[in-house]
Amino acid sequence: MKFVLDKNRALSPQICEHICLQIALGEYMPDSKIASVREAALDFSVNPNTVQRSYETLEVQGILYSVRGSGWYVASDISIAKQMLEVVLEEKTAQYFESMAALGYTVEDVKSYVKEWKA
Amino acid sequence: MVKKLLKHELKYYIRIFIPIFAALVLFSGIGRIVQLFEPLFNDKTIPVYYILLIGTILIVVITMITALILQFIFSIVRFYKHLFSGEGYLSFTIPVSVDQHLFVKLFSSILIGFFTLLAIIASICILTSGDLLVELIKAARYLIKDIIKEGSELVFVIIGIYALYFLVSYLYSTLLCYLCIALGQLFNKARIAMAVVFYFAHYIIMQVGGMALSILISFGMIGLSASSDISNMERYAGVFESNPDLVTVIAFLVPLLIYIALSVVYYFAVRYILKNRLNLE
Amino acid sequence: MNELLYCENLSKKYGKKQALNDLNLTLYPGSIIGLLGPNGSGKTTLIKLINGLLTPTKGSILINGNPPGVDTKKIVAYLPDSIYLNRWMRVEQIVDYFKDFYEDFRVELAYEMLGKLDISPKSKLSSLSKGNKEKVCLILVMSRNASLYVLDEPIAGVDPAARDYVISTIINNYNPEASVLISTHLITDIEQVLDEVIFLNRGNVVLHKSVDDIREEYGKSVDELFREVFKW
Repeated sequence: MKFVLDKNRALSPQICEHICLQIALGEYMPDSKIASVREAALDFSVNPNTVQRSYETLEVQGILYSVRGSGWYVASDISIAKQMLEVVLEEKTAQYFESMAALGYTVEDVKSYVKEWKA
Repeated sequence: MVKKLLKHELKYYIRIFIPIFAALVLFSGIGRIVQLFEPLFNDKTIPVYYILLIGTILIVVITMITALILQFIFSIVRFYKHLFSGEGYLSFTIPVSVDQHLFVKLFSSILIGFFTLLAIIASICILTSGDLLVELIKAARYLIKDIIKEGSELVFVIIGIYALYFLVSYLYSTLLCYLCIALGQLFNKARIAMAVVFYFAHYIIMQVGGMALSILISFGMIGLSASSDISNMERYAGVFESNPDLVTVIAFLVPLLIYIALSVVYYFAVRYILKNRLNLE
Repeated sequence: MNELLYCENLSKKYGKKQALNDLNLTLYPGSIIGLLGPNGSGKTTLIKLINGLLTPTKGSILINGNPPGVDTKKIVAYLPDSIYLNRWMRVEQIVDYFKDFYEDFRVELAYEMLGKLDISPKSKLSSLSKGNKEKVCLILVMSRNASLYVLDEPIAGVDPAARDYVISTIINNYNPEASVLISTHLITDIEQVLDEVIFLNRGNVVLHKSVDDIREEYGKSVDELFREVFKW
């Protein structure tokens, strides 16, 4: 999954979301080691402090855990990370409806349009 | 830190002066080789030989003078470039104090001056090696023996004062240039031009000051002789007559002390500017 | 937390021109700080004062509690905005110079970074391209284990690839106990690595905030906010 930073939003939550999605999509397995703070910082081209903050937030939420002297690991229970998928789905869908509303389409219009949609 | 600073300072000088010293040795070597060919020239070609000889000696002498001038110029240029040009950004951000910088600059300048003198002496020795050198050493030994035989204890003092005088006046002229450069840096524009202005202003002040001083002294003398106490004057004169070397010592000591005093003042002025008024572009 | 940099009523005048005007600023260890402002806003003046290359007209500046001097130079690593190294020197001689004078200089790290760029230690600085010269300067500075890194316009005048190199070198060598102060006017390229920003205008701090706070409070990027603050 490609990661694109939105500079109009705080960076740390964006990184949290991205890692949750990676876990939810199976890019990181439960109890597997994830990229170190520095590696991730280089990868995302962001400040290591930002990554550190994200990892700490994820630890509080029970999505990651840290092992002293070793690094950061994915929690055995990834159900919380998986909830992230729903959050994103909800968010993006809300955004979509909002932008359609701006074009004058009602929710019902859009829904019927989506039903006919062939991917 | 001083040691490391000195190491890098000397590296800079070595890069420049090794070729100059090599040229000096090379030219005097050529001059010496030319002399070897003297027997080959018969009477008719003697002018050719002398033209060659004088030519090579002239080249050696010019190289010597160039070496001395370059030695002084480079020690000033080094001060400016290392501290005030772009390089100053690094020189002033290494953990080295202003005193350490100044000490190393002055000491390495003296050291390189000393080596320049050694190179010149070496080149004279090469140029005159063989019979001529033996003659020269003999003459020198004879002269020294003569002086020592005269039994004047002050001879060594005088030689010492000469050496000291030379050293102090070298330090003085170097510090004067440092001060002018440092004063120039206080301006926001035309800093080198301002340094030159300061140098000439200093020159004029010293000339006028010197003149005023000598006028004052001569007036003092006139006043002294005009006063009735001639016996006092005679007593002073008597002291100098019985010991002529004392005159020399005093004649050297007074300016020596003035130079030392001025050098100290200039040093602290430069130090103050570098410490409290640094203004790198 | 102890203050890494503390400026109080810091002022600097060049003749009649007021470059810094009663500037107050405190920085702590552990963050990457952007020093942003239009040309002539006093960025370089502040940086030179931190490094003791200028002396303040008024006010005080303390680094780890000391005014700029031998003690502070030991812990501040400075990258000037122009190439300041001796052109005739070889890369290894410059490395030697840094090793001799900075106790915190990590020689192996410097050679490792130079090696990755295929810059030979024997090459003369004058023979390197402009981009490589700038990279050598950055490598030397980042090879120090300093408490405060001060980088003056590290990404101005370099191509985008070199810009990425500069940013990744900063990230790679960042030490959480140190702080990095980066002055720039190219905000977009660097804003994602910053923790906090200082907006400087006419010799004064007009804004000093954490970057995430800016994004949350204003809902815009630092670059956008900058353009708004400095609208003519």
